Amino acid sequence: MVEVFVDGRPVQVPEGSAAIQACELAGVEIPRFCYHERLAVAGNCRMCLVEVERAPKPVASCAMPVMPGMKIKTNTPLVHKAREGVMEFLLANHPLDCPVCDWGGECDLQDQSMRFGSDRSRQHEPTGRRAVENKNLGPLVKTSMNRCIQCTRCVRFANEVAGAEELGTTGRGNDMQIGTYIEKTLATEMSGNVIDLCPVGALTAKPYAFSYRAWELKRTESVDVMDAVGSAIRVDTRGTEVMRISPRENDDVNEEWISDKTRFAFDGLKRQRLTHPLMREGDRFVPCTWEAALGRVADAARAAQPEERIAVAGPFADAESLVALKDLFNRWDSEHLFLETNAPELVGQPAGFADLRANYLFNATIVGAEQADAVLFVGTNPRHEAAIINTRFRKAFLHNRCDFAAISPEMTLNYDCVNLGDSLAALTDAKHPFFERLRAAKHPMIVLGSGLLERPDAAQHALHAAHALAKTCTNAAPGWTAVNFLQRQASAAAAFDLGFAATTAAAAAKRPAAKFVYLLGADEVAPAALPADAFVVYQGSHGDAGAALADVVLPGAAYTEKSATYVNTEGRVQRVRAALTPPLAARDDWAILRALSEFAGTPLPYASVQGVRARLAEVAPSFAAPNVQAAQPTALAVAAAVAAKAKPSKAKAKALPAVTLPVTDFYLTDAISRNSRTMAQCSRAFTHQIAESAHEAHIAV
Amino acid sequence: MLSCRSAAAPRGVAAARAAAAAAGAAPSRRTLATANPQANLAADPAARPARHYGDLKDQDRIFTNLYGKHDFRLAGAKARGDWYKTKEILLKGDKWIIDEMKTSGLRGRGGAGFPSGLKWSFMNKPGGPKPGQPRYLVVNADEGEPGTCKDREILRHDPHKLVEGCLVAGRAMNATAAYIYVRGEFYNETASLQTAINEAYAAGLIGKNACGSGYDFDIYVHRGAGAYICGEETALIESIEGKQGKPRLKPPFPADIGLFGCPTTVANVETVAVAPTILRRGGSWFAGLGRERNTGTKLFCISGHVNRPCTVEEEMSIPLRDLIEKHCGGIRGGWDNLQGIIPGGSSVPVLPKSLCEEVLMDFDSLRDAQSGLGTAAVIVMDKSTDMVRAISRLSAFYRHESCGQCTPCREGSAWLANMMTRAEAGAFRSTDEIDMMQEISKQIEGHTICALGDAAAWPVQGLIRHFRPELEARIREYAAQGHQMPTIKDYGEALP
Amino acid sequence: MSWKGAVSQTLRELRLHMCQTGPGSAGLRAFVQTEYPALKAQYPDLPVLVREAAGVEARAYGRFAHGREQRLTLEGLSQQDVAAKLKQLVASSA
Repeated sequence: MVEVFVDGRPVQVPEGSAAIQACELAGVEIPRFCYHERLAVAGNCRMCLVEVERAPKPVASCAMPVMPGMKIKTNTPLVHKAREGVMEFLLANHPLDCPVCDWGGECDLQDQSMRFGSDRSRQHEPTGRRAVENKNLGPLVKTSMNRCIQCTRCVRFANEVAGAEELGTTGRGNDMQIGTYIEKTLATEMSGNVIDLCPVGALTAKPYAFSYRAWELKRTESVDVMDAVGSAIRVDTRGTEVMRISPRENDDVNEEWISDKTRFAFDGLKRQRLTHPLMREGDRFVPCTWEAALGRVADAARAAQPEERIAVAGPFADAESLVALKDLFNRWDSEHLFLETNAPELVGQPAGFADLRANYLFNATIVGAEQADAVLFVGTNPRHEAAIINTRFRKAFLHNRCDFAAISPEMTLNYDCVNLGDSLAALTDAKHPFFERLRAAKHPMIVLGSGLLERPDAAQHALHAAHALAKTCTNAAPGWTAVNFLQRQASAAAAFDLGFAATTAAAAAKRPAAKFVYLLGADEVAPAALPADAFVVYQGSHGDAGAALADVVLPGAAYTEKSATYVNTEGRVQRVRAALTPPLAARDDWAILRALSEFAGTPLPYASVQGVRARLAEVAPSFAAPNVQAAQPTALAVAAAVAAKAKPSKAKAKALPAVTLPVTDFYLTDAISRNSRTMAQCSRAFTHQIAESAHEAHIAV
Repeated sequence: MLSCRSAAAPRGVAAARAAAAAAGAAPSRRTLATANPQANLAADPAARPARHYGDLKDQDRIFTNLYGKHDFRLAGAKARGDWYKTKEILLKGDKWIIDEMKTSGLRGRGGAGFPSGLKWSFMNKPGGPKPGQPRYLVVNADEGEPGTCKDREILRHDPHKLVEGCLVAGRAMNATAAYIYVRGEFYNETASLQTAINEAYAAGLIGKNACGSGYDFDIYVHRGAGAYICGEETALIESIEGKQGKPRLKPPFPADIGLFGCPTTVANVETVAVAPTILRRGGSWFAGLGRERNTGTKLFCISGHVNRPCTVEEEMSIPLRDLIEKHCGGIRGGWDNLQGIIPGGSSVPVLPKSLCEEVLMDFDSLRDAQSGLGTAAVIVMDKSTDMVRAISRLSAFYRHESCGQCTPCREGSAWLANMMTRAEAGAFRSTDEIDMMQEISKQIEGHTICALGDAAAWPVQGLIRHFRPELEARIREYAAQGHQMPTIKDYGEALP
Repeated sequence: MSWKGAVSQTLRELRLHMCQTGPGSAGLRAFVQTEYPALKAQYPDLPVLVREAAGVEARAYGRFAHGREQRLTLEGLSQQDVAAKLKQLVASSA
């Protein structure tokens, strides 16, 4: 630690900090545009100038490393003049767009010019202001490049964090422009973050442009469920509508970023919503009362044998409704509960998979992924399945010289990755030169994908082979876990934790044809897997493929409308909060199940949220400790022992099918994103690379 | 001919001075070592004129083929004394070389004037470089400063001085290789330089076991692509690395993290090219020329309204008037036809005639006159010059060459250029706008990443400081003629 | 230890809660490390959920038919005692 003085006050700062961080620790606010804690220092806006004793001219505090005994002054006339001067220059070519600019009200330039700038303007040059053409970056990011102050935050973010090197600067001096130069869209799944980064209204959101003002919004802190990362978000609502989703800071999970699906899929929350209980009559759905619907469901459940009842949980099932559904089914002596990741054929899990947490969690933790120096992906595309974790891998690539290889079909990542083919034999063989790198690595990682679970035998084999491989990584740092499982759906980790998805493949194969099917938001079940005469109940928020199969539809709440618990792929328990109420007659999912239990004559022993959460902790103790990631040393040891006993062989591997990737289109993966117009536009523009029309591209605006 | 001055008239200057004394003119004019009237002559030894400066003898010259009258190749260079006992110099080791350079008092000849011995010693920090990490010497042959034309003479007429200089300077810094960055426009100069380098390689003077000393040293030439900003040392490094020529932040300094992340020193062509001669003749010889702290000889490039514009090597601290009278045949139309001189390239403020009569051509004297020696590119303007238009042209240059990274230079240089364009016609709302222009230039100065911001500000400040009446007259005349202030309609397309 | 025939027909799920490092869970941790593979080899379709969390006391839950559960405290017990108690639990029919 180093001691420096800020405005006469001594403050201790870590060595290697910049002066601006020392000032922050001292409680002094330094204005800045180009400096950002998570990006490389550019030092080009010059707004952070401070006076340092014995320096001949003011110093850019973001670029000056602290020296012991440095005396920083932030309140002197020199500093005030410097700030006013820089602000004057920034405003010299900045258009007077505030009334029509989306960023008004949350704009750094507005705030800092009010606080640090001059109170009057001297701009009367008859040549007028600089005009810059708008660029088409795709259907998500709207550009008004007249407003750009060339801070280069977007360029640094795109190049470093997102790995999208198409964004840069061209031109010199006053003609410097930010753009892609050769008319490319910003085709990265993290592109929306430049909207938050841009300190002015040059980069704004296109899907919800001109639809609100920042001060009208009510902000609710919540957690994202569009993937299994559990990014911290803020749901901004006005009245009964979600207007936008912004990221919150969580250094352990998503830093300050969210993926484009997290950010923009929310307009799917307003379409195809289930608002009333529905009963099928012939080929039509007829609205009915809750009593009628629940009574019908209870009757159908009673009519089936215990072994003939099955339940399938979809990607957005929260822990409360999972435990309620499981408890309900268990009271009926039914044990066949499945996860949608085993869909579409409902094949069950590998034996013992759900027993040990280390089998189905990302053991190295999201933060730990940054330290990796050799990573092997098996059947997963981290860019599509967990875009935020992918940014950690990119960090490892940039700062750790991390090497990557993948056993999967060809995929394009934003770092170099060797493809080892799509046969699991490559994993058991481990002959490729990459494996030498893996064995010599200090922080090796083997990441298994949730797509493997579509074939339990392949998943089992991959898991055992991964442990066998991890055992040969003798150079790994003590306490480091090499074997990881990457979930792609928000409900998966909770379901495994609660024992919801414990049905093994063997047990699943032996079950009789189902007569009663309970779909908890599950839309990926293959219709062929369900007998034609089965009674199907669909409980969920959207009328998608699953509801179309149902006999009774029970409207549930989406993640922005309920207070519920989700577990992310690391095993971290987090809560979403209700920003709105569910529409019309829709209800909280666990409450529907509680009501159903009453109608079925097997009432569940809890009737409040606290009761359900107490039950959660009773089933799995990690639910009593939210927001932390718990290591699983015993489970790991046992998993390794089991794997060692199993001795995965090359012959077995050759018999297994080729590895496939479960996500073909990042933008259309679940009921919410499939119903989102923005996601449809993204799919067209980025996945299928069909250019937008000029009108859609808002080029003229 | 090695000197512009005819050898048949020695002591010509002294004769003129005697004649002036005889005519009753005040002799003290020439003996003031500094234009600063407050200088305490007794206290500051440098202020006390030790002797008269500026009669550089031929045997004290370094650049003996400045005008290309002799062979630039290896044979000619050797005949002029280059590559003599270079091996012995190398074997004397880095500490000896740096000590000699420190004794010589050589200050960087590229414009900043930082003491070279000290600068080169930064490369030899205790602890040494990281294992396997090379160190580099980078030679700045970008020569972008308007008015400067000295480095090109070295490159095309005496390149072996530069090549040998790279070798001994590299030895002083324990460098692995030198990169010479030549501006792209210097095609012929690059060809001559590369010829010299090829000759040196073939003769075993550089490359592996340079001059048989056991020291390996390579020299590479890299061509620029037409940006003034690439003459800034960190922008130059960026350009060699293949990136856009945008200056880096300092700290970290190039001596810690420079070219390809390795310790690097960037030096001007002239600084490096004089090093072998200094080492051969001894640092104290060099220190005996010029005033204290402003030692040695310098190449001066005098252009503009003189009778014989030229590049000439002279002693430092030569009075400006002597330089012009002696080597350029005086101002056209006589000394009294002079309006102003920019003494060190377009980046330094202009000096009016009164100051031109008093200043010495060295770092300290010109700094005291609120200008600077810069690259010693002397731009002479007589009374026929429209001074406002001249400075406006310079402002347009800086606006064009600004890299655009930092806000004050990017926006401010454009704003200054626009204001100066209006000033040409006197189209200011009132004389208060002159103060506004001064203030804007002060807002740029010192607030930028590199010195281009300062360079954009200084010419305007010099104009306002010394030629304000000219500006005010124009404003009054513009208003008196009943002009309306121009609007955007008058300009149509964007101004250059 | 042989687990053949040790588990009753009505046991549907066995849950084992323990702390990762606390001394009170040492016996249960040791039990899991030693006996889990053999138990699973004998009963591969029986869910044996091993759940570790900081600071929780060692517990076992047996879930039997119709959702009836039995809870067992294993805090502070040795591995042998844990084994004995669990054998008792899994053999019962709730």
